[in-house]
Amino acid sequence: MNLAEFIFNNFGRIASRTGEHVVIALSALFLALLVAVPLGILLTRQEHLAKPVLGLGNIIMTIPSLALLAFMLPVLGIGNRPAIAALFLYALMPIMRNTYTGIKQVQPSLIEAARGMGLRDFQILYQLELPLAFSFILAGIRTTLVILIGWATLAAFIGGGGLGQLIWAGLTNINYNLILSGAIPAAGLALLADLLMGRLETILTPRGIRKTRVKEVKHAFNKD
Amino acid sequence: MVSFVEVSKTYPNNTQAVNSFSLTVAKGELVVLIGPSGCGKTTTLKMVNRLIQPTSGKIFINDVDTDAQDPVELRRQIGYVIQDISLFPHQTVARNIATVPLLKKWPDDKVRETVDRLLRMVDMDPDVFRNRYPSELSGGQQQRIGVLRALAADPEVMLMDEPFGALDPITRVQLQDELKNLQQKVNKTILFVTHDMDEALKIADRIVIMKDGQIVQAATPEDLLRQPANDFVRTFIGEERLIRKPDQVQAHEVMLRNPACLEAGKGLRQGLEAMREARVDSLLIIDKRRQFLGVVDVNTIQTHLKQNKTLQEIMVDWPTVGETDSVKTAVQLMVEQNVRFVPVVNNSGKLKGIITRARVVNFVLDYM
Ligand SMILES: Nc1ncnc2c1ncn2[C@@H]1O[C@H](COP(=O)(O)OP(=O)(O)OP(=O)(O)O)[C@@H](O)[C@H]1O
Ligand SMILES: [Mg+2]
Repeated sequence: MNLAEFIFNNFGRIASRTGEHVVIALSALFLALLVAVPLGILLTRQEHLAKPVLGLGNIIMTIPSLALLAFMLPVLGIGNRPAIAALFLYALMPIMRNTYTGIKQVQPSLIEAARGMGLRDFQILYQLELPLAFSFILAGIRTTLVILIGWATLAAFIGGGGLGQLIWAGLTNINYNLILSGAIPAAGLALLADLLMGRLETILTPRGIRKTRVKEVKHAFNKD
Repeated sequence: MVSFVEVSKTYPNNTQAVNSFSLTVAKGELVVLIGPSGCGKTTTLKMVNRLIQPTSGKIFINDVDTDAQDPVELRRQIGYVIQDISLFPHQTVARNIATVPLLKKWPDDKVRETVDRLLRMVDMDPDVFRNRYPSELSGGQQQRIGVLRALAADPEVMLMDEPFGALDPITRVQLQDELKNLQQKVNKTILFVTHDMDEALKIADRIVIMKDGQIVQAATPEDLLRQPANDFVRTFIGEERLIRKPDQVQAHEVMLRNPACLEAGKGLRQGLEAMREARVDSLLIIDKRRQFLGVVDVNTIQTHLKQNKTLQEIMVDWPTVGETDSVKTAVQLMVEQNVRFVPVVNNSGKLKGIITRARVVNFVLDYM
Protein backbone atom coordinates (compact mmCIF):
# COMPACT_ATOMS: atom_id res chain seq x y z
CA MET A 1 0.00 0.00 0.00
CA ASN A 2 1.44 3.36 -0.92
CA LEU A 3 1.22 6.52 1.21
CA ALA A 4 -1.64 8.09 -0.76
CA GLU A 5 -3.77 4.99 -0.40
CA PHE A 6 -2.87 4.72 3.26
CA ILE A 7 -3.92 8.27 3.96
CA PHE A 8 -7.12 7.81 1.96
CA ASN A 9 -8.04 4.66 3.87
CA ASN A 10 -7.20 6.16 7.26
CA PHE A 11 -8.49 9.64 6.57
CA GLY A 12 -10.89 9.78 9.52
CA ARG A 13 -8.25 8.65 11.98
CA ILE A 14 -5.66 11.13 10.71
CA ALA A 15 -8.17 13.95 10.72
CA SER A 16 -9.23 13.34 14.29
CA ARG A 17 -5.57 13.09 15.43
CA THR A 18 -4.92 16.39 13.62
CA GLY A 19 -7.87 17.91 15.44
CA GLU A 20 -6.54 16.73 18.80
CA HIS A 21 -3.14 18.07 17.87
CA VAL A 22 -4.50 21.51 17.17
CA VAL A 23 -6.51 21.49 20.37
CA ILE A 24 -3.46 20.56 22.46
CA ALA A 25 -1.27 23.25 20.91
CA LEU A 26 -3.92 25.96 20.98
CA SER A 27 -4.99 25.20 24.57
CA ALA A 28 -1.41 25.50 25.74
CA LEU A 29 -1.03 28.73 23.77
CA PHE A 30 -4.29 30.17 25.04
CA LEU A 31 -3.49 29.40 28.67
CA ALA A 32 0.00 30.79 28.23
CA LEU A 33 -1.43 34.01 26.76
CA LEU A 34 -3.74 34.42 29.75
CA VAL A 35 -0.78 34.25 32.09
CA ALA A 36 2.19 35.54 30.11
CA VAL A 37 0.75 38.78 28.73
CA PRO A 38 -0.37 40.14 32.11
CA LEU A 39 2.90 38.91 33.60
CA GLY A 40 4.88 40.69 30.89
CA ILE A 41 2.92 43.89 31.60
CA LEU A 42 3.49 43.47 35.33
CA LEU A 43 7.23 43.18 34.76
CA THR A 44 7.28 46.56 32.99
CA ARG A 45 5.64 48.06 36.07
CA GLN A 46 7.88 46.22 38.55
CA GLU A 47 11.26 46.59 36.91
CA HIS A 48 13.11 44.89 39.75
CA LEU A 49 11.20 41.65 39.09
CA ALA A 50 11.98 41.62 35.39
CA LYS A 51 15.45 40.15 35.62
CA PRO A 52 14.74 37.26 38.01
CA VAL A 53 11.45 36.31 36.35
CA LEU A 54 12.79 36.40 32.81
CA GLY A 55 15.81 34.45 34.08
CA LEU A 56 13.59 31.76 35.57
CA GLY A 57 11.72 31.55 32.29
CA ASN A 58 14.98 31.00 30.47
CA ILE A 59 15.82 28.11 32.79
CA ILE A 60 12.50 26.41 32.00
CA MET A 61 13.32 26.78 28.32
CA THR A 62 16.54 24.83 28.78
CA ILE A 63 14.84 21.75 30.26
CA PRO A 64 14.65 19.13 27.50
CA SER A 65 11.08 18.81 26.34
CA LEU A 66 10.70 15.12 26.98
CA ALA A 67 12.08 15.54 30.48
CA LEU A 68 9.62 18.33 31.17
CA LEU A 69 6.80 16.12 29.96
CA ALA A 70 8.00 13.40 32.28
CA PHE A 71 8.03 15.79 35.25
CA MET A 72 4.36 16.45 34.63
CA LEU A 73 3.38 12.81 34.92
CA PRO A 74 3.52 12.40 38.71
CA VAL A 75 1.57 15.63 39.17
CA LEU A 76 -1.03 15.47 36.46
CA GLY A 77 -1.11 11.79 35.51
CA ILE A 78 -1.13 10.67 31.91
CA GLY A 79 -3.09 12.00 28.94
CA ASN A 80 -3.51 15.40 27.36
CA ARG A 81 -3.49 17.40 30.57
CA PRO A 82 0.21 16.97 31.48
CA ALA A 83 1.11 17.55 27.83
CA ILE A 84 -0.80 20.82 27.73
CA ALA A 85 0.74 21.82 31.05
CA ALA A 86 4.27 21.22 29.80
CA LEU A 87 3.67 23.04 26.55
CA PHE A 88 2.07 25.88 28.52
CA LEU A 89 5.28 26.26 30.52
CA TYR A 90 7.31 26.46 27.33
CA ALA A 91 5.00 29.02 25.81
CA LEU A 92 5.12 31.35 28.82
CA MET A 93 8.62 32.55 28.31
CA PRO A 94 8.67 33.81 24.70
CA ILE A 95 5.29 35.49 25.06
CA MET A 96 6.17 37.10 28.38
CA ARG A 97 9.50 38.33 27.09
CA ASN A 98 8.01 39.76 23.92
CA THR A 99 5.24 41.50 25.82
CA TYR A 100 7.83 42.99 28.15
CA THR A 101 10.18 44.13 25.37
CA GLY A 102 7.28 45.33 23.26
CA ILE A 103 6.08 47.65 25.98
CA LYS A 104 9.58 48.74 26.95
CA GLN A 105 10.37 49.85 23.40
CA VAL A 106 7.51 52.36 23.38
CA GLN A 107 9.14 55.80 23.34
CA PRO A 108 9.04 57.38 26.83
CA SER A 109 8.15 60.71 25.23
CA LEU A 110 4.91 59.21 23.90
CA ILE A 111 3.98 58.06 27.35
CA GLU A 112 4.85 61.41 28.81
CA ALA A 113 2.75 63.19 26.20
CA ALA A 114 -0.14 60.86 26.99
CA ARG A 115 0.16 61.37 30.72
CA GLY A 116 0.51 65.12 30.21
CA MET A 117 -2.76 65.18 28.30
CA GLY A 118 -4.58 63.41 31.10
CA LEU A 119 -4.64 59.73 30.18
CA ARG A 120 -4.86 57.50 33.21
CA ASP A 121 -2.42 54.60 33.66
CA PHE A 122 -4.79 51.97 32.29
CA GLN A 123 -5.66 54.22 29.35
CA ILE A 124 -1.98 54.59 28.58
CA LEU A 125 -1.72 50.78 28.67
CA TYR A 126 -4.72 50.12 26.44
CA GLN A 127 -4.50 53.05 24.08
CA LEU A 128 -0.78 53.32 23.70
CA GLU A 129 1.47 50.62 25.13
CA LEU A 130 -0.42 47.50 24.10
CA PRO A 131 -1.20 48.66 20.55
CA LEU A 132 2.41 49.69 20.06
CA ALA A 133 3.70 46.46 21.61
CA PHE A 134 1.23 44.47 19.55
CA SER A 135 3.54 43.43 16.73
CA PHE A 136 6.11 42.25 19.29
CA ILE A 137 3.51 40.22 21.18
CA LEU A 138 2.16 38.78 17.96
CA ALA A 139 5.67 37.84 16.82
CA GLY A 140 6.11 36.02 20.15
CA ILE A 141 2.83 34.20 19.66
CA ARG A 142 3.78 33.26 16.12
CA THR A 143 7.09 31.57 16.96
CA THR A 144 5.58 30.01 20.06
CA LEU A 145 2.69 28.50 18.15
CA VAL A 146 5.01 26.98 15.56
CA ILE A 147 7.16 25.44 18.29
CA LEU A 148 4.11 24.18 20.20
CA ILE A 149 2.76 22.43 17.11
CA GLY A 150 6.08 20.64 16.76
CA TRP A 151 6.33 19.68 20.40
CA ALA A 152 2.70 18.64 20.66
CA THR A 153 3.75 15.44 18.85
CA LEU A 154 5.45 14.48 22.11
CA ALA A 155 2.11 14.40 23.92
CA ALA A 156 1.58 10.87 22.66
CA PHE A 157 4.61 9.69 24.63
CA ILE A 158 2.80 10.39 27.88
CA GLY A 159 -0.52 9.02 26.85
CA GLY A 160 -1.95 12.08 25.20
CA GLY A 161 -3.51 12.38 21.73
CA GLY A 162 -2.50 14.21 18.61
CA LEU A 163 -0.48 13.37 15.55
CA GLY A 164 2.27 12.03 17.81
CA GLN A 165 0.13 8.90 18.28
CA LEU A 166 0.43 8.04 14.58
CA ILE A 167 4.17 8.67 14.61
CA TRP A 168 4.63 6.69 17.83
CA ALA A 169 2.59 3.77 16.56
CA GLY A 170 4.46 3.85 13.24
CA LEU A 171 7.79 3.79 15.04
CA THR A 172 6.91 0.79 17.18
CA ASN A 173 5.52 -1.11 14.16
CA ILE A 174 8.14 0.19 11.76
CA ASN A 175 5.33 1.37 9.54
CA TYR A 176 6.61 4.28 7.42
CA ASN A 177 3.19 5.14 6.08
CA LEU A 178 1.94 5.55 9.61
CA ILE A 179 4.94 7.68 10.61
CA LEU A 180 4.54 9.93 7.59
CA SER A 181 0.78 10.26 7.99
CA GLY A 182 1.56 11.83 11.39
CA ALA A 183 4.66 13.78 10.44
CA ILE A 184 3.36 15.40 7.24
CA PRO A 185 0.20 16.94 8.75
CA ALA A 186 2.26 18.12 11.73
CA ALA A 187 4.70 19.90 9.45
CA GLY A 188 1.81 21.25 7.39
CA LEU A 189 0.10 22.57 10.50
CA ALA A 190 3.26 24.37 11.58
CA LEU A 191 3.63 26.03 8.18
CA LEU A 192 -0.04 26.94 8.09
CA ALA A 193 0.13 28.48 11.57
CA ASP A 194 3.12 30.56 10.55
CA LEU A 195 1.35 31.74 7.42
CA LEU A 196 -1.89 32.60 9.18
CA MET A 197 -0.17 34.47 11.98
CA GLY A 198 1.76 36.47 9.41
CA ARG A 199 -1.47 37.42 7.64
CA LEU A 200 -3.06 38.28 10.95
CA GLU A 201 -0.21 40.64 11.77
CA THR A 202 -0.59 42.51 8.48
CA ILE A 203 -4.34 42.81 8.89
CA LEU A 204 -4.28 43.99 12.48
CA THR A 205 -1.38 46.45 12.29
CA PRO A 206 -2.58 49.98 11.57
CA ARG A 207 -1.07 51.63 8.48
CA GLY A 208 0.78 54.16 10.63
CA ILE A 209 3.13 51.62 12.19
CA ARG A 210 3.61 49.09 9.41
CA LYS A 211 7.26 48.56 8.82
CA THR A 212 7.15 49.40 5.12
CA ARG A 213 5.91 52.93 5.10
CA VAL A 214 4.19 54.27 2.05
CA LYS A 215 7.05 56.39 0.80
CA GLU A 216 5.38 57.44 -2.46
CA VAL A 217 2.43 58.91 -0.64
CA LYS A 218 4.76 60.79 1.63
CA HIS A 219 6.58 62.41 -1.23
CA ALA A 220 3.53 63.20 -3.29
CA PHE A 221 1.86 65.10 -0.52
CA ASN A 222 4.82 66.66 1.21
CA LYS A 223 3.88 70.29 1.31
CA ASP A 224 6.72 71.60 3.45
CA MET B 1 -4.04 83.11 34.62
CA VAL B 2 -1.20 81.08 36.08
CA SER B 3 0.59 82.10 39.28
CA PHE B 4 3.71 80.56 40.69
CA VAL B 5 4.28 81.42 44.34
CA GLU B 6 7.75 80.63 45.69
CA VAL B 7 7.87 77.34 43.83
CA SER B 8 10.93 75.13 44.38
CA LYS B 9 11.84 71.66 43.24
CA THR B 10 14.65 69.53 44.57
CA TYR B 11 14.97 66.12 42.92
CA PRO B 12 15.68 63.04 45.04
CA ASN B 13 19.32 63.19 43.86
CA ASN B 14 19.53 66.63 45.55
CA THR B 15 19.58 68.59 42.29
CA GLN B 16 17.84 71.85 43.03
CA ALA B 17 16.18 72.33 39.64
CA VAL B 18 13.88 75.24 40.52
CA ASN B 19 14.51 77.67 43.31
CA SER B 20 11.85 79.94 44.74
CA PHE B 21 10.25 80.72 41.40
CA SER B 22 7.50 83.35 41.52
CA LEU B 23 5.71 84.58 38.42
CA THR B 24 2.23 85.54 37.35
CA VAL B 25 1.22 84.92 33.78
CA ALA B 26 -1.81 87.00 32.85
CA LYS B 27 -4.77 85.58 30.96
CA GLY B 28 -4.01 85.62 27.25
CA GLU B 29 -0.32 86.29 27.79
CA LEU B 30 2.42 84.37 25.99
CA VAL B 31 5.37 84.02 28.33
CA VAL B 32 8.60 82.46 27.08
CA LEU B 33 10.97 80.72 29.50
CA ILE B 34 14.52 80.76 28.26
CA GLY B 35 17.88 79.94 29.79
CA PRO B 36 20.87 77.63 29.53
CA SER B 37 20.39 73.86 29.46
CA GLY B 38 19.52 72.47 32.87
CA CYS B 39 18.31 75.77 34.33
CA GLY B 40 14.95 74.23 35.21
CA LYS B 41 12.63 75.29 32.38
CA THR B 42 11.10 71.87 31.76
CA THR B 43 10.79 71.22 35.47
CA THR B 44 8.94 74.53 35.90
CA LEU B 45 6.55 73.66 33.09
CA LYS B 46 5.84 70.15 34.31
CA MET B 47 4.98 71.37 37.77
CA VAL B 48 2.04 73.27 36.27
CA ASN B 49 0.32 70.10 35.06
CA ARG B 50 1.67 68.14 38.00
CA LEU B 51 3.79 65.73 36.01
CA ILE B 52 6.28 66.85 38.64
CA GLN B 53 5.30 67.67 42.20
CA PRO B 54 6.93 70.84 43.63
CA THR B 55 8.98 70.37 46.79
CA SER B 56 7.54 73.60 48.12
CA GLY B 57 5.48 76.54 46.96
CA LYS B 58 2.14 76.75 45.21
CA ILE B 59 0.86 77.07 41.68
CA PHE B 60 -2.54 78.59 41.03
CA ILE B 61 -4.58 78.54 37.84
CA ASN B 62 -7.29 81.20 37.96
CA ASP B 63 -6.70 81.43 41.69
CA VAL B 64 -7.40 77.74 42.22
CA ASP B 65 -4.59 75.80 43.90
CA THR B 66 -3.54 73.09 41.43
CA ASP B 67 -2.73 70.82 44.39
CA ALA B 68 -6.40 70.79 45.29
CA GLN B 69 -7.35 69.30 41.91
CA ASP B 70 -7.24 65.75 40.62
CA PRO B 71 -4.05 65.69 38.52
CA VAL B 72 -5.72 63.84 35.65
CA GLU B 73 -8.63 66.28 35.50
CA LEU B 74 -6.15 69.16 35.78
CA ARG B 75 -4.11 67.88 32.82
CA ARG B 76 -7.21 67.63 30.66
CA GLN B 77 -7.73 71.36 31.23
CA ILE B 78 -4.18 72.20 30.14
CA GLY B 79 -2.76 71.87 26.62
CA TYR B 80 0.65 70.18 26.51
CA VAL B 81 3.11 70.06 23.62
CA ILE B 82 6.61 68.61 23.86
CA GLN B 83 9.63 68.70 21.61
CA ASP B 84 9.59 65.10 20.42
CA ILE B 85 6.47 65.55 18.45
CA SER B 86 5.01 62.50 20.16
CA LEU B 87 1.96 61.99 18.02
CA PHE B 88 0.60 58.51 18.56
CA PRO B 89 1.94 56.66 15.51
CA HIS B 90 -0.80 54.01 15.42
CA GLN B 91 -3.59 56.56 15.35
CA THR B 92 -4.79 58.78 12.53
CA VAL B 93 -4.41 62.54 12.54
CA ALA B 94 -8.07 62.90 13.49
CA ARG B 95 -7.77 60.41 16.35
CA ASN B 96 -4.64 62.12 17.62
CA ILE B 97 -6.29 65.52 17.66
CA ALA B 98 -9.34 64.04 19.34
CA THR B 99 -7.37 62.56 22.25
CA VAL B 100 -8.55 64.89 24.99
CA PRO B 101 -12.09 65.48 23.64
CA LEU B 102 -12.56 61.69 23.63
CA LEU B 103 -11.20 61.44 27.17
CA LYS B 104 -13.77 64.06 28.09
CA LYS B 105 -16.44 61.97 26.34
CA TRP B 106 -17.57 64.67 23.93
CA PRO B 107 -20.30 63.53 21.53
CA ASP B 108 -18.98 62.17 18.21
CA ASP B 109 -20.24 64.95 15.98
CA LYS B 110 -18.75 67.62 18.21
CA VAL B 111 -15.39 65.80 18.11
CA ARG B 112 -15.52 65.52 14.31
CA GLU B 113 -16.46 69.15 13.96
CA THR B 114 -13.61 70.26 16.23
CA VAL B 115 -11.04 68.18 14.36
CA ASP B 116 -12.08 69.64 11.00
CA ARG B 117 -12.21 73.21 12.31
CA LEU B 118 -8.73 72.92 13.84
CA LEU B 119 -7.23 71.39 10.69
CA ARG B 120 -8.68 74.23 8.62
CA MET B 121 -7.25 76.75 11.07
CA VAL B 122 -3.72 75.68 10.08
CA ASP B 123 -4.62 75.37 6.40
CA MET B 124 -4.63 71.58 6.30
CA ASP B 125 -7.56 70.25 4.29
CA PRO B 126 -9.48 67.89 6.60
CA ASP B 127 -10.49 65.66 3.69
CA VAL B 128 -6.84 65.16 2.81
CA PHE B 129 -5.31 64.87 6.24
CA ARG B 130 -7.98 63.51 8.59
CA ASN B 131 -7.16 59.87 7.92
CA ARG B 132 -3.43 60.17 7.46
CA TYR B 133 -1.07 58.60 9.96
CA PRO B 134 1.70 60.69 11.51
CA SER B 135 4.30 58.83 9.44
CA GLU B 136 2.56 60.18 6.35
CA LEU B 137 3.14 63.82 7.34
CA SER B 138 6.14 66.14 7.08
CA GLY B 139 7.86 67.26 10.28
CA GLY B 140 6.19 70.65 10.15
CA GLN B 141 2.76 69.11 9.60
CA GLN B 142 3.33 66.70 12.47
CA GLN B 143 4.21 69.53 14.80
CA ARG B 144 1.11 71.46 13.71
CA ILE B 145 -0.98 68.42 14.61
CA GLY B 146 0.87 68.30 17.94
CA VAL B 147 -0.24 71.86 18.63
CA LEU B 148 -3.80 71.18 17.46
CA ARG B 149 -3.97 68.13 19.71
CA ALA B 150 -3.11 70.37 22.65
CA LEU B 151 -5.70 72.93 21.57
CA ALA B 152 -8.51 70.47 20.86
CA ALA B 153 -10.37 70.57 24.15
CA ASP B 154 -10.04 74.36 24.19
CA PRO B 155 -7.83 74.60 27.27
CA GLU B 156 -7.32 78.00 28.78
CA VAL B 157 -3.66 77.32 29.50
CA MET B 158 -1.08 75.82 27.13
CA LEU B 159 2.35 74.46 28.06
CA MET B 160 4.80 74.16 25.20
CA ASP B 161 8.27 72.70 25.79
CA GLU B 162 10.55 73.54 22.85
CA PRO B 163 7.80 72.59 20.43
CA PHE B 164 9.64 73.83 17.35
CA GLY B 165 13.15 72.80 18.40
CA ALA B 166 13.46 69.91 15.97
CA LEU B 167 12.24 71.75 12.88
CA ASP B 168 14.26 73.29 10.08
CA PRO B 169 14.61 77.09 10.33
CA ILE B 170 12.08 77.92 7.61
CA THR B 171 9.34 75.71 8.98
CA ARG B 172 10.14 76.97 12.45
CA VAL B 173 9.60 80.60 11.50
CA GLN B 174 6.39 79.63 9.71
CA LEU B 175 5.07 77.86 12.80
CA GLN B 176 6.08 80.77 15.03
CA ASP B 177 3.97 83.05 12.85
CA GLU B 178 1.09 80.61 12.97
CA LEU B 179 1.33 80.30 16.74
CA LYS B 180 1.32 84.07 17.13
CA ASN B 181 -1.73 84.25 14.86
CA LEU B 182 -3.43 81.46 16.70
CA GLN B 183 -2.68 83.09 20.00
CA GLN B 184 -4.42 86.26 18.86
CA LYS B 185 -7.39 84.28 17.56
CA VAL B 186 -7.90 81.94 20.48
CA ASN B 187 -6.44 84.05 23.28
CA LYS B 188 -4.71 81.33 25.28
CA THR B 189 -2.44 81.75 28.25
CA ILE B 190 0.77 80.16 27.01
CA LEU B 191 3.95 79.12 28.78
CA PHE B 192 6.52 78.43 26.09
CA VAL B 193 10.04 77.04 26.61
CA THR B 194 12.79 77.61 24.09
CA HIS B 195 16.55 77.74 23.65
CA ASP B 196 16.27 80.14 20.76
CA MET B 197 16.48 83.85 21.62
CA ASP B 198 15.22 84.91 18.21
CA GLU B 199 12.17 82.73 18.71
CA ALA B 200 11.61 84.23 22.15
CA LEU B 201 11.95 87.81 20.91
CA LYS B 202 9.58 87.06 18.08
CA ILE B 203 6.66 85.43 19.84
CA ALA B 204 6.83 86.50 23.49
CA ASP B 205 4.67 89.04 25.23
CA ARG B 206 7.12 88.60 28.07
CA ILE B 207 10.43 86.78 28.32
CA VAL B 208 11.58 85.11 31.53
CA ILE B 209 15.31 84.50 31.61
CA MET B 210 16.26 81.71 34.00
CA LYS B 211 19.54 80.58 35.49
CA ASP B 212 20.12 77.86 38.08
CA GLY B 213 16.40 77.50 38.74
CA GLN B 214 15.84 81.18 39.37
CA ILE B 215 14.44 84.09 37.39
CA VAL B 216 17.19 86.48 36.40
CA GLN B 217 14.93 88.88 34.56
CA ALA B 218 11.33 88.91 33.39
CA ALA B 219 10.49 91.65 30.91
CA THR B 220 8.95 92.42 27.56
CA PRO B 221 11.28 91.78 24.60
CA GLU B 222 11.59 95.55 24.11
CA ASP B 223 12.59 96.22 27.72
CA LEU B 224 14.93 93.28 27.73
CA LEU B 225 16.80 94.62 24.73
CA ARG B 226 16.95 98.11 26.17
CA GLN B 227 17.72 97.30 29.77
CA PRO B 228 19.28 93.90 30.34
CA ALA B 229 19.44 93.38 34.11
CA ASN B 230 23.06 92.18 34.19
CA ASP B 231 25.96 90.75 32.23
CA PHE B 232 24.44 87.26 32.20
CA VAL B 233 21.33 88.55 30.49
CA ARG B 234 23.42 90.70 28.18
CA THR B 235 25.57 87.79 26.97
CA PHE B 236 22.55 85.54 26.85
CA ILE B 237 20.66 87.90 24.61
CA GLY B 238 23.77 88.49 22.54
CA GLU B 239 25.44 91.90 22.23
CA GLU B 240 24.44 92.16 18.61
CA ARG B 241 20.75 92.14 19.48
CA LEU B 242 20.87 94.72 22.26
CA ILE B 243 19.41 98.15 21.64
CA ARG B 244 21.90 100.61 23.12
CA LYS B 245 22.02 104.34 23.51
CA PRO B 246 25.19 106.24 22.41
CA ASP B 247 26.32 106.47 26.03
CA GLN B 248 26.26 102.65 26.29
CA VAL B 249 28.43 102.07 23.23
CA GLN B 250 32.18 102.30 23.64
CA ALA B 251 34.50 104.24 21.35
CA HIS B 252 36.42 101.14 20.24
CA GLU B 253 33.21 99.56 18.88
CA VAL B 254 32.73 102.44 16.48
CA MET B 255 36.28 103.55 15.61
CA LEU B 256 38.17 102.93 12.36
CA ARG B 257 41.02 100.65 13.21
CA ASN B 258 43.78 101.75 10.85
CA PRO B 259 43.98 105.52 10.77
CA ALA B 260 46.66 107.18 8.60
CA CYS B 261 49.57 107.84 10.96
CA LEU B 262 53.29 108.45 10.80
CA GLU B 263 56.20 108.62 13.24
CA ALA B 264 57.09 112.07 14.55
CA GLY B 265 60.71 111.99 13.32
CA LYS B 266 59.78 111.67 9.63
CA GLY B 267 60.16 114.61 7.21
CA LEU B 268 57.43 116.74 5.65
CA ARG B 269 57.74 115.21 2.16
CA GLN B 270 57.23 111.76 3.61
CA GLY B 271 54.22 113.13 5.46
CA LEU B 272 52.71 114.53 2.28
CA GLU B 273 53.33 111.24 0.47
CA ALA B 274 51.58 109.28 3.27
CA MET B 275 48.56 111.57 3.07
CA ARG B 276 48.35 111.14 -0.67
CA GLU B 277 48.53 107.39 -0.37
CA ALA B 278 45.85 107.20 2.29
CA ARG B 279 43.76 109.94 0.59
CA VAL B 280 43.42 111.92 3.80
CA ASP B 281 44.07 115.55 4.68
CA SER B 282 45.37 114.96 8.21
CA LEU B 283 47.97 112.65 9.71
CA LEU B 284 48.05 111.30 13.24
CA ILE B 285 51.55 111.65 14.60
CA ILE B 286 52.93 108.90 16.87
CA ASP B 287 56.24 107.98 18.44
CA LYS B 288 58.13 104.72 18.02
CA ARG B 289 55.88 103.03 20.62
CA ARG B 290 52.73 104.23 18.83
CA GLN B 291 52.00 106.78 21.56
CA PHE B 292 49.76 109.48 20.12
CA LEU B 293 51.48 112.89 19.95
CA GLY B 294 49.47 115.22 17.76
CA VAL B 295 48.05 116.01 14.33
CA VAL B 296 49.45 117.55 11.17
CA ASP B 297 47.11 118.73 8.40
CA VAL B 298 47.84 119.13 4.74
CA ASN B 299 47.81 122.94 4.73
CA THR B 300 50.42 123.20 7.46
CA ILE B 301 52.70 120.81 5.58
CA GLN B 302 52.30 122.80 2.36
CA THR B 303 53.26 126.05 4.14
CA HIS B 304 56.42 124.58 5.70
CA LEU B 305 57.39 122.33 2.81
CA LYS B 306 60.41 124.39 1.78
CA GLN B 307 61.92 124.26 5.28
CA ASN B 308 63.80 121.22 6.44
CA LYS B 309 61.60 120.26 9.38
CA THR B 310 60.25 117.06 10.97
CA LEU B 311 56.55 116.42 11.48
CA GLN B 312 57.06 116.77 15.22
CA GLU B 313 58.03 120.42 14.81
CA ILE B 314 54.86 121.47 13.02
CA MET B 315 52.23 119.20 14.61
CA VAL B 316 49.49 120.59 16.87
CA ASP B 317 47.89 119.17 20.03
CA TRP B 318 44.61 117.31 19.57
CA PRO B 319 41.88 116.07 21.93
CA THR B 320 41.55 112.26 22.26
CA VAL B 321 39.07 109.76 23.76
CA GLY B 322 39.87 106.54 25.60
CA GLU B 323 38.79 103.29 23.93
CA THR B 324 36.30 102.56 26.69
CA ASP B 325 34.84 106.07 26.66
CA SER B 326 31.38 106.26 25.18
CA VAL B 327 30.58 107.35 21.66
CA LYS B 328 28.62 110.14 23.28
CA THR B 329 31.83 111.53 24.83
CA ALA B 330 33.54 111.40 21.46
CA VAL B 331 30.70 113.30 19.77
CA GLN B 332 30.59 115.92 22.57
CA LEU B 333 34.32 116.43 22.17
CA MET B 334 34.00 116.90 18.42
CA VAL B 335 31.25 119.49 18.93
CA GLU B 336 32.94 121.38 21.79
CA GLN B 337 36.40 121.53 20.25
CA ASN B 338 35.09 121.91 16.74
CA VAL B 339 37.19 119.08 15.29
CA ARG B 340 36.24 116.70 12.47
CA PHE B 341 37.68 113.61 14.13
CA VAL B 342 39.09 112.33 17.42
CA PRO B 343 41.84 109.74 17.79
CA VAL B 344 41.07 106.82 20.12
CA VAL B 345 43.83 105.83 22.56
CA ASN B 346 44.13 103.14 25.18
CA ASN B 347 44.83 103.98 28.81
CA SER B 348 48.59 104.18 28.24
CA GLY B 349 48.12 106.66 25.42
CA LYS B 350 48.75 104.28 22.55
CA LEU B 351 46.86 105.04 19.32
CA LYS B 352 44.14 102.47 18.64
CA GLY B 353 41.92 104.08 16.03
CA ILE B 354 39.96 107.11 14.98
CA ILE B 355 36.36 108.26 15.16
CA THR B 356 35.27 110.52 12.33
CA ARG B 357 31.97 112.33 11.73
CA ALA B 358 31.12 109.93 8.91
CA ARG B 359 31.71 107.05 11.30
CA VAL B 360 29.32 108.51 13.86
CA VAL B 361 26.62 109.07 11.25
CA ASN B 362 26.91 105.46 10.08
CA PHE B 363 26.68 104.23 13.63
CA VAL B 364 23.54 106.24 14.29
CA LEU B 365 21.97 104.96 11.07
CA ASP B 366 22.71 101.38 12.11
CA TYR B 367 20.77 101.82 15.31
CA MET B 368 17.83 103.72 13.90
N1 LIG C 1 14.00 63.31 37.03
C1 LIG C 1 15.11 63.98 37.43
N2 LIG C 1 15.87 63.53 38.44
C2 LIG C 1 16.96 64.21 38.84
N3 LIG C 1 17.39 65.35 38.31
C3 LIG C 1 16.67 65.86 37.30
C4 LIG C 1 15.50 65.21 36.80
N4 LIG C 1 15.01 65.94 35.79
C5 LIG C 1 15.82 67.00 35.66
N5 LIG C 1 16.83 66.96 36.56
C6 LIG C 1 17.88 67.97 36.74
O1 LIG C 1 17.26 69.19 37.09
C7 LIG C 1 17.86 70.27 36.40
C8 LIG C 1 16.83 71.01 35.58
O2 LIG C 1 16.36 70.17 34.57
P1 LIG C 1 15.31 70.65 33.48
O3 LIG C 1 15.00 69.48 32.64
O4 LIG C 1 14.19 71.35 34.14
O5 LIG C 1 16.20 71.69 32.66
P2 LIG C 1 15.86 72.48 31.33
O6 LIG C 1 16.04 73.92 31.65
O7 LIG C 1 14.57 72.05 30.78
O8 LIG C 1 17.05 72.02 30.39
P3 LIG C 1 17.08 71.79 28.81
O9 LIG C 1 17.16 73.16 28.23
O10 LIG C 1 18.34 71.02 28.60
O11 LIG C 1 15.85 71.05 28.44
C9 LIG C 1 18.99 69.68 35.59
O12 LIG C 1 20.18 69.82 36.33
C10 LIG C 1 18.63 68.23 35.47
O13 LIG C 1 19.76 67.43 35.36
MG1 LIG D 1 13.97 71.01 28.96
